[in-house]
Amino acid sequence: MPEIHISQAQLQPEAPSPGGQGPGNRASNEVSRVRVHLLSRGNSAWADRGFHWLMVICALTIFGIVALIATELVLRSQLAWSKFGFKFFFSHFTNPDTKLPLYWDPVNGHFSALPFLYGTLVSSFLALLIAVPLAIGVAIFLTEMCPQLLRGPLAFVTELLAAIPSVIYGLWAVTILVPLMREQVNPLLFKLLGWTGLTSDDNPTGLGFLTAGVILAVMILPIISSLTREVMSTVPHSQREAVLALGATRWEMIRIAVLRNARIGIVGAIILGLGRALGETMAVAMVIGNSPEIHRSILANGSTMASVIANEFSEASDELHMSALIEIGLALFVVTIIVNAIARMLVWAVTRGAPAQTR
Amino acid sequence: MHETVPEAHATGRVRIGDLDVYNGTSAVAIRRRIGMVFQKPNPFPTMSIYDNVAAGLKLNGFREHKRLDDIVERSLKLSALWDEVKDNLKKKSGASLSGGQQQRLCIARALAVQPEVLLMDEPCSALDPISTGKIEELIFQLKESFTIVIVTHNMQQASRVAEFTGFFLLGELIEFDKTERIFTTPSDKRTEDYITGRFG
Amino acid sequence: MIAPLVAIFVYLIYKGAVSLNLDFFTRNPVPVGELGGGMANAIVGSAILLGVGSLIGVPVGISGGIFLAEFGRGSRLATAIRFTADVLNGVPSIVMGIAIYSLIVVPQKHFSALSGGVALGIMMIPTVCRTTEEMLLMVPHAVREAALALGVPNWRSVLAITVKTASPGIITGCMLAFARVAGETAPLIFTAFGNSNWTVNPNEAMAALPLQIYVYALSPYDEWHKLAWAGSLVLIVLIVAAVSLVRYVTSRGVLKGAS
Repeated sequence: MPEIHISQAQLQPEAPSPGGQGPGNRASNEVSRVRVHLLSRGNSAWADRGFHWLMVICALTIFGIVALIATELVLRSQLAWSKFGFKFFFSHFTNPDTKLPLYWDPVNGHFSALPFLYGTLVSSFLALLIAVPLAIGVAIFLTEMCPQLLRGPLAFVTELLAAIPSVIYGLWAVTILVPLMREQVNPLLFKLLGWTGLTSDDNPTGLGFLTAGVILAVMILPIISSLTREVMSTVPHSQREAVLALGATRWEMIRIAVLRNARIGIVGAIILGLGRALGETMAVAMVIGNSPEIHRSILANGSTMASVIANEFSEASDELHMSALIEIGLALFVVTIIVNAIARMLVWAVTRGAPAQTR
Repeated sequence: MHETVPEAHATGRVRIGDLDVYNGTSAVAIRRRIGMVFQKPNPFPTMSIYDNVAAGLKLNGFREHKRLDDIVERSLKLSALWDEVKDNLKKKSGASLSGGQQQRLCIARALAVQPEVLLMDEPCSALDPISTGKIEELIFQLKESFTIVIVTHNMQQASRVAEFTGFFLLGELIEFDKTERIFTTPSDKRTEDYITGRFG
Repeated sequence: MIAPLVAIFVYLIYKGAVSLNLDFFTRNPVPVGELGGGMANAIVGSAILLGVGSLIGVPVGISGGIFLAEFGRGSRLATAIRFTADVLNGVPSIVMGIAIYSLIVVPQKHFSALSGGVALGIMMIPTVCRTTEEMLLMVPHAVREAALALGVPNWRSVLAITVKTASPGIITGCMLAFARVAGETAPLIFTAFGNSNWTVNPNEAMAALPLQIYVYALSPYDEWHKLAWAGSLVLIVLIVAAVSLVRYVTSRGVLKGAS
């Protein structure tokens, strides 16, 4: 490689008079002032490094918070854990008088989380049962069939519904849904399906698993449908065209091209909705009836992990009771982390690299 | 600038006066002495025309407002943009100008920090012929007062604006000489092949 | 399909509008049996709680987002942090409530607005962090280069150029997080606890709109139900305003934000 030297004289033919034909003297004065100013400033390497580390620390704070929550929950639930161990989630006690199973009796120090696990699972399952078909329907409608004009407002409404606080859903449920369930839906279900035992009519309140499931369904519907919509819109247009070109009807196209391609992402969206349903507290606590029992009937009163914490935590006076509630909280924490992690990975797997495919 | 691209690396030496660019000088200090103009005009989209030009000084802590006004005016005059924008300097955003105007705005922004060398990386490749003509005219005027290093794929442009020309092939400097020598009697075979259009 | 959902909305607006009056904003709750009363203390309480929350959530969230977009791009640490933020986003609010209860309320030995604010702040972090990251990634690389080429130190270029360019989007993200936690009830039950009296002392138990709605909704009194609806309307209007603003800003595009 040749060594190149250009002398200063060659580079700057005349005496430097920056400003060209501009005001000569004053201009060069300005130049030197600016240059002196800039040269006098440090290269601020320490400031850069400090800023970098500040950002890193803030980012690590997020780690710290999650770790702190986890340790705190583990520490505070030690008492219940050491007393009941794994049986906390599976066992029951027997009421000496009635000989019926007894799960949760703070007065006598009997604690088993089984009815809350059951309640959480049943209400979430019912919610998914109602919400998933609706949500997928809404998403298909929005991405594939909806006139362009309606798309924006409808998407906006779904977004708004996702932003309504759960306590307001609860309030709505208490004043509208509960009477409706009490007077119309539950008697009807009893008449139609009472013989299965799943909808036996021993609860005249209108509260219960099904009511909780319905309100949960309303709450997770926007989440599932908006995520499903997102996943569906990543399906490349060429795929749709290819199927249509083979002579498929519109519905066949949706089934073959869209749903099949997007299915992993849709499952992810459903699981994400499940995560929300599992942890949902206020609306459920307001309509599920709050009794720590296990019933076969979905019309019966029950309680979920989240709702029992909301209801009893501030009244829990003895250590064991509080510790048991915190252990339920810990279980909920772990479960939702796992559920969310699975869902995120599925949604990520689909949406990552998608933009490259669409064109 | 290349250190923001992880795969890039450089060998050799570049010196500006007493400053060794690749040996232990901080990038920030070097950039304060070298003005840069990029391939695509990149004004700060959220800033007014005035703030765009003043950005380099303001962000380096230069706060004498009266003087700043002068510098902005002179930089815009130097880049031949002043007459087109002087009426709404602080009202219009830099992004609202046309492509050629944006590029001249970027030149003004680079000039405002009073660099010793002005580095232009294909400054006209994203512009139409008329804007290109204006920029070249500008380069002609500016080279009276600044050292300008310009990268171009356009040989006509190189022969038009440059006094010295260097030929790079695959990242390696092949030849460097007075422009008319390079274009008439190059000493390296590869240079000759390139300027006679045998490849590239 | 969406009709029943819209019905909820219409009903809410109707019920709320009927029960809303000036007293709601100016008076404190009154004991059972008395007519009237309002939620002045709860509105102020919510404002204070959200203020404390924003003081924690916004700076940490934005810094985290800056790290993810500007420093950690592609690094393993960034992936881990992104994932943790998603996890934090999914933590049920009631669990956040008991965690903050045992972290702050138990050592302090009394309920306080401060602990409630911390809980809300932590819940804001993931949303703020992720939207900040997304918005910063939308800023073209050329803009960063332009700033660095002027000899501006990196930290200044990030704050004064990149973040400023993305600021409409970042503010949007903060509003979104704000709207989300504004309606949170579960984390406040054991932290801010609620208070039927007027207080602005962040070290005391404090009322909040969602808490008050919860209490009133479960009461057997008609008068209180009305107040709960009125409270819901106020809360919803706040949230809808925030969400519409967000939509408006994002539909205009981040970079066209400032003209």
